Amino acid sequence: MKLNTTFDEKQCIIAIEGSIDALTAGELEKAVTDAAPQCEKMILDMSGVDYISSGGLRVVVGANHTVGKGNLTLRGLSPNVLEIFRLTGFTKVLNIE
Amino acid sequence: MKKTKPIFIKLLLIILPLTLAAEIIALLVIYALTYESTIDQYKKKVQLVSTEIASVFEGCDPSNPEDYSSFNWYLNSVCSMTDMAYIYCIVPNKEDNSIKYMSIGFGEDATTEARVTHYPGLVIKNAAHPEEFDAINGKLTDNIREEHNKYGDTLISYSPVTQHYDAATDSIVKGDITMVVGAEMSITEIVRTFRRTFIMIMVYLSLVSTLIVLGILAVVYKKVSLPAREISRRMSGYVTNRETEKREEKLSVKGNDEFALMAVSFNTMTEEIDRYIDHIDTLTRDKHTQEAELNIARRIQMGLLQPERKSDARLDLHAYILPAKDVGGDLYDYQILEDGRVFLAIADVSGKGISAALFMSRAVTLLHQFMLTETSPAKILAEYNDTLASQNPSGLFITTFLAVWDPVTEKLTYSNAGHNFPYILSDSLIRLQGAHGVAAGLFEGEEYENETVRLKAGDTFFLYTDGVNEAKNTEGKFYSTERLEEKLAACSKNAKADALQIILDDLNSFTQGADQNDDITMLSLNILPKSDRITLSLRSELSELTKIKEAILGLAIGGDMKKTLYLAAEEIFVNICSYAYDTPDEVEVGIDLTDRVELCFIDGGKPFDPTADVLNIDEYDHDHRIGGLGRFLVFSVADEYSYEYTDHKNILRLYFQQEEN
Repeated sequence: MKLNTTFDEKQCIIAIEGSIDALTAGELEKAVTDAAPQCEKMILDMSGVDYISSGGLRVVVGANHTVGKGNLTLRGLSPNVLEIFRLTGFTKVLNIE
Repeated sequence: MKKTKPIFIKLLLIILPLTLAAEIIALLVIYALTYESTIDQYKKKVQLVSTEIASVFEGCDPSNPEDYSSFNWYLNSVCSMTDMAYIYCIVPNKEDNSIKYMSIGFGEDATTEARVTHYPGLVIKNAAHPEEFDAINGKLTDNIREEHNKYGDTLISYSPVTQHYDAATDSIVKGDITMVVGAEMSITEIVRTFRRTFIMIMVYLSLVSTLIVLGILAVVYKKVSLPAREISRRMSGYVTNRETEKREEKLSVKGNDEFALMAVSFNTMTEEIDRYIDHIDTLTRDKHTQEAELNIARRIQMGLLQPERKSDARLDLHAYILPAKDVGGDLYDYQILEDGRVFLAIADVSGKGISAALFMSRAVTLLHQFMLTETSPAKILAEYNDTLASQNPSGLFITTFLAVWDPVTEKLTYSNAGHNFPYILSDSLIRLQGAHGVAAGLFEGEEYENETVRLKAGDTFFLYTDGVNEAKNTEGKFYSTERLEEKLAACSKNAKADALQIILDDLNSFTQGADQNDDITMLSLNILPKSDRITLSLRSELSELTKIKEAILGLAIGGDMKKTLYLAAEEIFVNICSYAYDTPDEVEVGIDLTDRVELCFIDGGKPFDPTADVLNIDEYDHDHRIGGLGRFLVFSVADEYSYEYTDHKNILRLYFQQEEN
């Protein structure tokens, strides 16, 4: 998994590439925690993500809590990643572009 | 080596006896001749004495013995004067072969015994000699006898007393010879002196001649044997000695004989040999350096190629490459992509040696790179051709066959740039067909076509370069495409998986070690029959997830299916790692691929039924609760599942239907 965090005024964008699974979720969690204090809004660019498991879901949901409800946006979800969010019902509570 | 017998010894053994024998014969002849002439003067002397004394007795009357014996004193003095031993007058009697002394005189050489026993009137029987009768019979001269006995060597001459005085008639009577005068002379001393002198001469002559012979042989030894030995010593082991010893001086050339000629020839020969060996040494050194460099080049080149064996759950790859020289122009490559597709390539650069090897290195690097970024073999070949052709000062080209096999669709898509079409060993032998394409590297902008064929489980895909069919045996015959196809057809009946090894063995038995003219390269992809079961014995640690991931990626199933399987496997495995054991322990993960996929997890941890109490997503608090999602996902994506706790083990089975293609 590759992570690239960029800041645009009060908005931060974390671009993720690869698989978010039990082994890599920790890295993403750290990137989120590091970036959160410096941004009001956070965008997770997941156009490069081909796989996500429940470990990854937990980090995404955790990020939603950290930056505050409604301040997290998921971008560029591939069909099978979106399917995981849909299955678990998170499409209802997360901002997905 | 046999001990050398010098030639001068041989000559000595022949020449010396011959010389000595010749000398002895010559001396014996000379001895005989000189002896006669030496003795001759003494013969004349004794004859003169006997003749003279015979005439003295002509005035005596035979009937008066006193006449004769009165001459004794006279004979004594004649003996002294003439060096005679005895002078006597005798009457030989033919009747009883006796002689009767009439008168006798003794000289210095007379023996004491003879002086006592001989006197006038003495008759000795059987003492007459033939010469005495010859004299009586009127032979006047040459009645000479030599006697050699215990008294020494004696010359005796007899002369007849041819007339006598007859007192009755007072006249001289002629004829009627009855008396003979003998004069004896001792020649013992003369003969001894003569012989001694002769022996001295003989000894000196022999010594001189022996010395002469030895002198000649010494010259022979110095002029023939020594140079011959020296040349021989230099010749034997010349080549081996020159390795260890300092090079010797040249043979010295003295005079202008055959040996000088031989020494000159030998020197010329050694110079030539030295030059030749030095030349070979240089060549060998250069060759070793070159070989070492080529070996390194070869290792680098072979390092660019994939391993000769690669296997996973559904396929078996086998490659073989044998460059004709140290570095080759052939290459093979393969790549198993993450989604399970398999790329295969085989190629043959025109030409051999370093330039071909460098071109090959570029080609294999390019192919390998393009396989990762592009899926269509035809497009890869086009790009590969353009890149190679853009920088190809030597004008080399490379025939290349590229194929990609999709395990989901079991389709083999291929494209050809001027290479031999490979074969598929299925129910029968199939030679691939399609556009032949232009060999890569020559012209930019060439386009290639894709063809598709089915390569199903159990089939073998066989690629080769023309080094196989054009391999020659010792008689110069080609292995031939016919023989290759015949063997492959036989393999397709019952030994598809071993095709490459069978062809290789057959090729080796055909060539029988004949010189190899071209690189020989073969590549085979054997698709294993389905329904293989994979069992992974793991530790309950998260890092083991990568092994599960690799195993699932290696399955001959679609990419989405792999993601689904991995999602379920990850969630279950993470749960086991988190809860089953207090400290990491064994977990067995089984994957069974038939018409559906079965995932099986076995652990010896705390009894836990993951199928119970799966959360109801509709009642899930998305804002606050974040636990239980994993198990929910697993049972959402699995088509069927079962759990049992048997023999102190949790056994969970998940089933997934394969997607229709």
